[in-house]
Amino acid sequence: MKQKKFTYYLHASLVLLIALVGISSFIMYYDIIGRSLQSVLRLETDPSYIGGRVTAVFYDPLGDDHGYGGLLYPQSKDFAPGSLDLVRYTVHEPVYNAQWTPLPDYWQLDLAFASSTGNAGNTRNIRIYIDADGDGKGSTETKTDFAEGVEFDSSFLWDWVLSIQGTAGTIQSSDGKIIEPLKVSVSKSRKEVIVRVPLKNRVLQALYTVPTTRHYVCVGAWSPWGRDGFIDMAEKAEAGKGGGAVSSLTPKLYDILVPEDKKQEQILSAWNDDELTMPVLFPVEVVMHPPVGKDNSAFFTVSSSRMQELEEKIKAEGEKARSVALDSYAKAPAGTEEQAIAAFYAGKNTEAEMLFDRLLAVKSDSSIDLAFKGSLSAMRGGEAPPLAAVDIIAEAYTYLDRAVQLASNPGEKITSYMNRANVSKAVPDLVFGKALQGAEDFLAAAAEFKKLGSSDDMVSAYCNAALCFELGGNKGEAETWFREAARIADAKEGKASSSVALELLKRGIIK
Amino acid sequence: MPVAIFFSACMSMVVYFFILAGNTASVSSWFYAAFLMILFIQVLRTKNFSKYRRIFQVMFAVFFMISFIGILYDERGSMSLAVDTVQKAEVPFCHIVIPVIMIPYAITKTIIFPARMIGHFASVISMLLIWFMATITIGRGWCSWVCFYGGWEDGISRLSKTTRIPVLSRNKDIRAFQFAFLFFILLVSLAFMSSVYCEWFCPFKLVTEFSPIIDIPSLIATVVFIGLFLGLVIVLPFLTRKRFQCSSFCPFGAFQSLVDKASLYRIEIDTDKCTSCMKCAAACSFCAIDKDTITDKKDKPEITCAKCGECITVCPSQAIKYQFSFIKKGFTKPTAVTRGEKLAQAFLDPRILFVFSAFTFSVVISSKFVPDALDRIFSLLAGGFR
Repeated sequence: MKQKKFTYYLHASLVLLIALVGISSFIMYYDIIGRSLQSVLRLETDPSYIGGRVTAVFYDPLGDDHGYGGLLYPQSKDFAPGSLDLVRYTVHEPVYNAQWTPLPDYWQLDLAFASSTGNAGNTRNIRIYIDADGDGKGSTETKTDFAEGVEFDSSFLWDWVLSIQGTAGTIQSSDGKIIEPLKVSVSKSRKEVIVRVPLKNRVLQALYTVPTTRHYVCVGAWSPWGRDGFIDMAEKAEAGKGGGAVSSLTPKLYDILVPEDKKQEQILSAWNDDELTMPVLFPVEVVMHPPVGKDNSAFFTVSSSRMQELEEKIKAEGEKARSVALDSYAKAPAGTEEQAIAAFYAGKNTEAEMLFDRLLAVKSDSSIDLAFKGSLSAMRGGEAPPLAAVDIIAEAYTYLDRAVQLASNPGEKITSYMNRANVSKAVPDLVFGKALQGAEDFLAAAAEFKKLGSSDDMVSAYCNAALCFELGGNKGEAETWFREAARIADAKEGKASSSVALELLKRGIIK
Repeated sequence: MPVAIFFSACMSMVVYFFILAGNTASVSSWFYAAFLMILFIQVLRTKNFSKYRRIFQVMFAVFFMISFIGILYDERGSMSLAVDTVQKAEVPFCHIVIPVIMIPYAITKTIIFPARMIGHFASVISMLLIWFMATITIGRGWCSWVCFYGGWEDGISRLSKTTRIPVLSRNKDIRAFQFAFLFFILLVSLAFMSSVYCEWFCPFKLVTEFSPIIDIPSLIATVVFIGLFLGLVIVLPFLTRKRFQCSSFCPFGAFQSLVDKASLYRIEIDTDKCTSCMKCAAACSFCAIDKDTITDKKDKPEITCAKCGECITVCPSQAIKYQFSFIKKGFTKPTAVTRGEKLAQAFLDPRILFVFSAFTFSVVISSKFVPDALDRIFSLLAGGFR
């Protein structure tokens, strides 16, 4: 009887505990639980809804939207800087009998650009020439003569051309006999263009079975008066004309996708005024049905000793930076901003917050002080019990947002963006939903670093932006910025910082 | 009294964390937090679960609709499902899809619904986690306490004072139809590798989002879901005083009935106290108490019981109560001898623990939508759309 009584009270007490603490705690921490669960389950949406299985992703360098090397954007506001800068081209496997779409049989191609356009994507004039069968038949000339001002590799003659402008588009065969409308959508950010090629036509259905296709991806600026919609080029940019043309044969393409062993500038500058020859483009090859891999994570294939080495290096670098900061803290004049910042980097959070409070009491609109105050409040929130943490972090954002608003010079902009971005990266996304804002802040800071020529910081900011995109569930953007960080680090023949290297290594982007 | 004060204090912490924390400047949040606390205290004070539960559910259903549609208009400019929402897998994931995705996932390792996997309140992982926790605690109590659709039928079924079409004798058939429909939906979804229920049958598309009419099939789908909403959510609940869609058609409801055994609570009928007045059967919104349940002296309602507490409220002989699931038939609760034991039993009352658990889920699930809806209403009253 006693045993039964004990069992009853024990079970009932457990239920009480679950009711009072269990449910709330589980939900408070379900972001962390969810991410752990996802790393095990690796849930994915059925590919047929979202374009089909990805067969190839090509990353194009950021900032190469200058064609042969000297093209300038038209001066109209609609041509926002970076809006013609192709950064990612994704090819999917053709899909058969997809659900939830008026186009059940389709082939999807995605293009991502560095920044959005000034209008609904109408300023981009995109051509994708595709050699679908490698049979040596097709064309080496552009769809409309002298439109883009280029020719194509005679080894890979194109069979189909996709013409995309805004949300309209067509696919046309090289002999011009077949013309079908495309389904084109532009993302809300106007940075991505999603093209679906309908595969209702029996000739196009051959795409289901071809083993490889070769793609020439060309991006130009659109004008209703240009030949085939490609804006005219002049020496100086005007509202309705691109600038930087040095010859009548200068190609009207701002960005193209090139194979890994080729350089865009070299290809597009290879025209000959005397012989009247145009530059020849080379395609990228797409294997249409690659074998199904378990996953493409590099987590389990990277060398654990290399990871450990990097982790130790990061730790050592952190300790060194802290000791330098401690030194600066000791040497800095008492009560100054310099001392407060040194205290922050030395990890003396309480002292730092006190100092920033005093500084803000004197000058409440100091962007730098507000930014650090925000970060320190957020850190305090991170250590507080969950019940208080949300309030403290929400308050921290009032400082951080104000700091960004008040920032006027590059130093202030970098400090305010970086502080807000770091907080956004650290707080749980499911509670605060700040990961994507964090990514944008890191990119804004990177733009400032770029202006100052600080490429190490820029690489680090790109990598952090990628991490934020990853947290916010935007895998494509994350991959783009990881790649960009790796490319810049690689280009300057220096090594990425240990923390960046570790992230890139984890993802198999560097070895 | 000390028990009520203790649980009210605990609930105020839950309400603070999920409604007010980070939103202390929001009038709507304070308004809603106060409303929830009044509701919870009234539940404990009056022991009238059904009345206050219904007030919550009806309010939640309406405010969820306002907030959800408002968010859709903010993001897409319409209630219709945009192509790029599907392409980018950003369709909000709702609990009704949970049973539908399981078998295809086991086979293909993919989710046959274009939703985000993680990083959003309506992502697959978030919903699965909440569902899991709800299942092992309140079980099918989700339907009567938490579901943001259930309030429609709950409210409409009580608009009429009398039952115009009695369905008591058809309870078994209604339940059988619900399980058969679940089985059908699972099979068809597997065959088409698509959430067919969402595409063709979900009546609540009328109050959330729907596919635009672009061809004959989408026109048929529109006619079907409008018809189902009118029939199952408006007309039949009004005539039968039952939650008809929940009892006969909802695949999640049927699925939740099957997994309810894993939950911590159940409804117990004391057959010795029962006078067979059948008031409970008439009051049950989920067709879970038949004549046979009473005449055969079963000690619990049928499998579709959603623990709403209607039967407990109407039972004149207090023969029905909440019970812990681990307590088996024939077990008698230890007699409380000492003061400490009496106090312990008061704190460990399954009725209070169930209500507290269910209310916690209600607070969590409604925490974003209701204040948002109130904000929208207040700004509309103040002179324009937000």
